Amino acid sequence: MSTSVLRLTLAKPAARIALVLVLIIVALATLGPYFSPYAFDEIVGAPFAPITQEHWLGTDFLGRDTFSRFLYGGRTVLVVALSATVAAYIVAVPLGIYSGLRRGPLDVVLIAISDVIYALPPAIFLLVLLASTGPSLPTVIVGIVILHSPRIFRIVRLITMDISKNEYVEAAFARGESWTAICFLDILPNVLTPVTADFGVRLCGSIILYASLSYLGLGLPPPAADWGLMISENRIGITISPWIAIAPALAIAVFSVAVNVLTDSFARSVGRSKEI
Amino acid sequence: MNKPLLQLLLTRIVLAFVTLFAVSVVVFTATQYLPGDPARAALGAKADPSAVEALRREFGMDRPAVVQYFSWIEGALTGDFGRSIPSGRPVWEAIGPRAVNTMVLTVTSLLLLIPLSFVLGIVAAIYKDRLADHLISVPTIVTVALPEFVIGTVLIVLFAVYLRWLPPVSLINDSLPLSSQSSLFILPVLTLLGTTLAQVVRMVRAVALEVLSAEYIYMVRLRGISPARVLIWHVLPNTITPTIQTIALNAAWLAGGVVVTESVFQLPGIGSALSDAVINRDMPTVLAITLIITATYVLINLVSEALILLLNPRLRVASGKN
Amino acid sequence: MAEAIPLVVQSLFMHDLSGREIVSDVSIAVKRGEVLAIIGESGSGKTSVALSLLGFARPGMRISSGKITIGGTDILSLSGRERRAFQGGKVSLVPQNPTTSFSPRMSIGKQMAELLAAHGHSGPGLKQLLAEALRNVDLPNDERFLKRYPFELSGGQLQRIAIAMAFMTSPQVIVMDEPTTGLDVSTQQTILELIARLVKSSNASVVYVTHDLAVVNVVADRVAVMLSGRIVEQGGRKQVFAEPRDDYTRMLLDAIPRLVAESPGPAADDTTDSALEFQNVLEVKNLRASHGNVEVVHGISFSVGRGECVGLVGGSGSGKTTTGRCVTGLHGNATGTLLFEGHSMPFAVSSRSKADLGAMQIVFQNPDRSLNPKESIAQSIARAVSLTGMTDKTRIGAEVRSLLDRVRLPQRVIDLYPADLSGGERQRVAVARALALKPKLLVCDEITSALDVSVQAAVVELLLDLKKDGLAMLFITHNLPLVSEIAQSIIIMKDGNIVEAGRTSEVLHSPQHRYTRMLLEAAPRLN
Repeated sequence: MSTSVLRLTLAKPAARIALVLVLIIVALATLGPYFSPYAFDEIVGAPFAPITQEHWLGTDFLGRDTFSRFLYGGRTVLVVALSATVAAYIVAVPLGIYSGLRRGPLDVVLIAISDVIYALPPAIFLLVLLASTGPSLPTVIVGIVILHSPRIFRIVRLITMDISKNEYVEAAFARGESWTAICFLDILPNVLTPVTADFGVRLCGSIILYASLSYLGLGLPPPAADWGLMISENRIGITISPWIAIAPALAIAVFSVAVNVLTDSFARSVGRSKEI
Repeated sequence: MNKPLLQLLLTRIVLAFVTLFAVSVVVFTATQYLPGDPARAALGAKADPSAVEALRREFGMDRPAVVQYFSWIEGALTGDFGRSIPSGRPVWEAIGPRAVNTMVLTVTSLLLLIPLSFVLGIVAAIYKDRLADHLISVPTIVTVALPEFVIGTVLIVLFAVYLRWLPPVSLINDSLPLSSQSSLFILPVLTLLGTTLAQVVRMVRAVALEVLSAEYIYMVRLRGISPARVLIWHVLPNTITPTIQTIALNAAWLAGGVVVTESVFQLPGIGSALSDAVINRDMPTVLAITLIITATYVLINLVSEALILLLNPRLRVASGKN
Repeated sequence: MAEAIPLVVQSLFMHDLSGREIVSDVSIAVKRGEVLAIIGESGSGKTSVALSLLGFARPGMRISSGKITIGGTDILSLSGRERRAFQGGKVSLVPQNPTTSFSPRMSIGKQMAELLAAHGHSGPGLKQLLAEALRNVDLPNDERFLKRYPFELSGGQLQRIAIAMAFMTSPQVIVMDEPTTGLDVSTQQTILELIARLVKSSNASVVYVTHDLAVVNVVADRVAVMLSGRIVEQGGRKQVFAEPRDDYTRMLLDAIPRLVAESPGPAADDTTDSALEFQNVLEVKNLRASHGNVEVVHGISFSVGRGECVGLVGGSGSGKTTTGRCVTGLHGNATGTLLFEGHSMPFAVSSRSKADLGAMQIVFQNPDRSLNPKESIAQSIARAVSLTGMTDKTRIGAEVRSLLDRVRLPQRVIDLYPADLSGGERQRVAVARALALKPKLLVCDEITSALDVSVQAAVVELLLDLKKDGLAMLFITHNLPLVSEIAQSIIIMKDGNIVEAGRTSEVLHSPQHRYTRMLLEAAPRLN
């Protein structure tokens, strides 16, 4: 990745703020548990107690310290979203390049598979998967990978086909360069930039998917602390202590929006920088 | 209508059925062969093995999978989706009335989504980088990244907790006419619009920007045609087609988005029924709802593809050549 | 009282948004019935001036000062509504690219009627004007034709409609922005004749923008030459062509390829007579090639000798490019025999030996797509060098530098990326990369078409040098005058067949086929 694209990406104040916010949320999610005043499952008072000096965000429906649970609750969404997205790219990028460059029977099969996955509404697919295997984090990750892969595959395949129409690729074939050389020197570097812009969109999607599952009670099982779950399990108290829902909702929102703003800015600067 | 167009349409329709069949097989197989026994799950881990066996027999789960699939699909085609495992009631009886609520919710959202996104997207494109554009584009970049339950929760806190204008839950009463309960749909509709509108507006804006900077638009302007005419006769028609797919995608997303939205507002629809069924491992209900939602999804895609074909003058007038 | 001059431009300045001057102090005046040609290369500001005559600046550009008077009214001082009455009414535009200039989802009849309606015509009057306009450009005036969409018409037909529309409202000023550039040579000729006829009968003031000096010779009364935003020379056509005062004008005139038969000493060098001594590097026998199931090359045969340059000339769709791709192994869907230095060569790249692949290289038309944007110039060429089996880093580096010398590029480009280079420079890098494999045959596929005239001339000179070193060349082009400067023999292709082949001088002097004669007549000339 060239420095000029990164510089352009961060040229706008909005993008710089977004970067800072992403870093804050990541720090909160990873380091939060070490600074939490109470254990996440420790009952410390009456349910829905108001905000006090000891309990910065009051207590939840079981009387646990909401602030501690907030500090614990970001880890899962961060780990699941990131690992699922990265895994999806590891699966789909090589397949996409292969398919776009060599075509052939494997390409036809991969396209057919991706068509069927496309026909499943994402949220519904995850629900069915979890219904049949029972909720578990590895299943969630596998499910998100299955959902993202065909979409990444299609994009990479299209970009590869586009790039391979370029005359520098034809010239490379015509002078007898090997498939590997063409893949790694001509295709991959030119695929990576648009794919990086796409990565942010997928990551954002993973965050939304996992957080929604957690909200529906299909993420980490109780009594674990998880931002999505915290909102739904405290739903009955929303009129008394709305901040219990607001804090995790805000954290998820900030994380997802900031990733999206960064991605958007990156995609724009790729368009503007000369070397794509 | 000419022959190549008809052929293309027929191909699409056949493909849609093939996809639907493939999906039903995949979903059915997933619920049969993946680890986890629904009968045991329904009765609990400590249940007597003979009781589990009895339940399996009662629901026909001891028959070969192919037989089960075809008897299921046969029933599904006539509206008989079997019986719900925990309650033993016919599935359709439980989800039928709920499906009406979900229909009202999604169709209302869709009817608002299409005109709003075109107006906002084109306005943003015309006033690119000016105040009107920022007022439209900045909120879209935020809401596009928000899950439904966050938007829903924020709306509840705002309109139900602080302003007290609307109720925090949408408990539709089956015995009352829906028209008397329309206020219960306001927040759920806004929630669904929040995520989908942003995406479509961004797409419309991007396409409209491209059209506005196209050479033919300059040429039309330089012929002295009035701006209003340029907009309605030249910009709009060329913006619609590339956007149809995004609208279809979001319409389909609505079909899935109802699951979370209905849970947030405790609105009795098939979405919340699905998430309940998943938690209860109520497989007949999961299968039925999945099939209904997927069929809607495939249908929406089919309609959008047909529209794209019909709106394309190249295909409309095609004389048999490629 | 003398009649007012319909178009007067006084000290026009235009800037882009970063404040760079795009057009500086341009002043022109065009009388009734007169054609002023504005000549310039890409980036000279000629199109910006043309569009400004309609009171329009492309996005990112603005008209900063000056006066543009059309029929006595300064168009720049008008409000939006008043200006629209002028645009299309009193001043009209014929665009460069007809295929992208029509609204794609509206029939052409509606688009023509829309223009007339916007300028106050309606009912039978409108119908009559429309019919007349179509008749003027030799197009049918029937309902079926008017109901067609732009994509159903050819570039030539669309340009006729664009021209009809430009004249339809009887404007005082007509601006033509390279109206024939996107068209085939034969279409170009008829469109030019059409324009000349309509200009004469309409008596409008015409501004004709072009990069093609030869076209100017056909249509213009007066000429203005533009270079980086300024008019460097302005005068009567004959005077500018015969006694150019400005160095740049002279350079432009010299750079135009001329049919060798007409130019004073033949540029195609004197060794032509020894043609019989050429050993054949490449022999093509009965080549047939298809795209899918459609055959586009129908069994052609030709040969290229050592140190010989063969020009393969044809219009779009003639099959010339496919032929070049078959030879270099990029188009496998073909039958026939390829003999390279006497041994037969398969069609697919994958079944050719490394040595064979290296011995035959191709350079493409589009310099923007010929180089990997992620590789520096050095990396790009070094990759090709290392294919020859060279592994020592310093030796590869030395070879890269000597190749750059050979294509006359300065050593400083070595660490630059393609985006940092101009089109001409990129094309030289592509040639250097091809030469790295020490080929016996170089296939040049329209390698000069995307370049400006002055750059074109330099690339041709480079090719002439390479030919002297014994390199055989297959030079594919649509440009007959250009190829006559470097090729010893010429093959003319049309619709997948060779219609004429022979030594350059023979083909030019005594063309046998009708199509060749048409090409020769269509080839613009200066005298």
